[in-house]
Amino acid sequence: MERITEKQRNLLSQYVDGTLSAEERKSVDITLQTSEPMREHLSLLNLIGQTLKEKRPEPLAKNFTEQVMINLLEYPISTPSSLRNGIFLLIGVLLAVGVALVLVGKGVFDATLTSLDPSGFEVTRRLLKNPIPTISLSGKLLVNCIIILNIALSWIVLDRTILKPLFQRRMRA
Amino acid sequence: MTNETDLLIIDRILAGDQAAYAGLVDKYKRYAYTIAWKILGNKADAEDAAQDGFIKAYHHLKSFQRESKFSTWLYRIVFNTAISHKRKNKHTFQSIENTIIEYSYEAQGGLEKNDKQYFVHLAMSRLNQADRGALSMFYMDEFSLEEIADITGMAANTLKVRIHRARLRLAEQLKLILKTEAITL
Repeated sequence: MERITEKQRNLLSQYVDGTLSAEERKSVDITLQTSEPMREHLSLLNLIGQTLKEKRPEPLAKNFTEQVMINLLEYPISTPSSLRNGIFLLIGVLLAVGVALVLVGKGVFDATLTSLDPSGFEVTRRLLKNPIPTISLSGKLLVNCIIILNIALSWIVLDRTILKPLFQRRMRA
Repeated sequence: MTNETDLLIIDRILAGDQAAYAGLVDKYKRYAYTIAWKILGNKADAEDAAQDGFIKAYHHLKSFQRESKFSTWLYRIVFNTAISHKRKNKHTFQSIENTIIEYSYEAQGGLEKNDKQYFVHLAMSRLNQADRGALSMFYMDEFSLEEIADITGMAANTLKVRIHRARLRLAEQLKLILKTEAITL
């Protein structure tokens, strides 16, 4: 049985797409009159084109736009740079904690002692009749408090700017 | 002119007027849904994918490069979202797809033309996802080859070759199916 060549297949594809020149088209028309396999292939290509063009989706839901807008409100817009900023902020906070820990570890603040005497202020002397006791502050204690606050801050930064957007994105993907 | 109008709307959205986005959704929902439907093959999944596509586009509006048309950029997002939905639902989708084919065949049964259409859909289901998507969009008659290339993220020449080869494969599959049917009858 006669088979059509690759070249003839290509010509027929271009024939149905209407991309052949008038001369080439005429030549294919002539060949089609004598070649049964080419006619068969052409009818298949026409059937494919016709079927796929006719294949139309069911109508879209009427409330589609409303649904999109409702979903937008559920996921408020986030700036693309927030993740990057979050990472920078986190690195900064962790760096500060690291430096403070090293300094505390080396005993830099061990000798730093200070006292706060509220009675020394003119305002407190005028307002209060009884003297307030002096508050003594250790530098080490103060820095340790700052370190703890920074660690808490780094957790918040990690959650709000990195983890939360990441999980939201994964849920939406 | 249309793209200029879109850009003005985008400016309003970026300035905080979220409601303005409804105008863009209304304008492009039909084609966005059709693209998703061509890939996913059923209404529910296509609507989900189109919705997700619109939401993703909204969240990435700032990164939209205004050199290309907004519609093309949006359709590419919808196309990629539909592809990822398809990957997720791969196993269940196969059965849904067959059900749709069975249904349309049974519902329109008896007529020779509809038999042939059924066989075309059957042959299409044997193609790979990328070929099916490219061919479906090519026959939508809504987009030029260059636009389809932009949406699918392929080079125009690669897409042209892909469509050509996919159509040949489809014709071969169809020929096989029709021959088998003729023998069975």
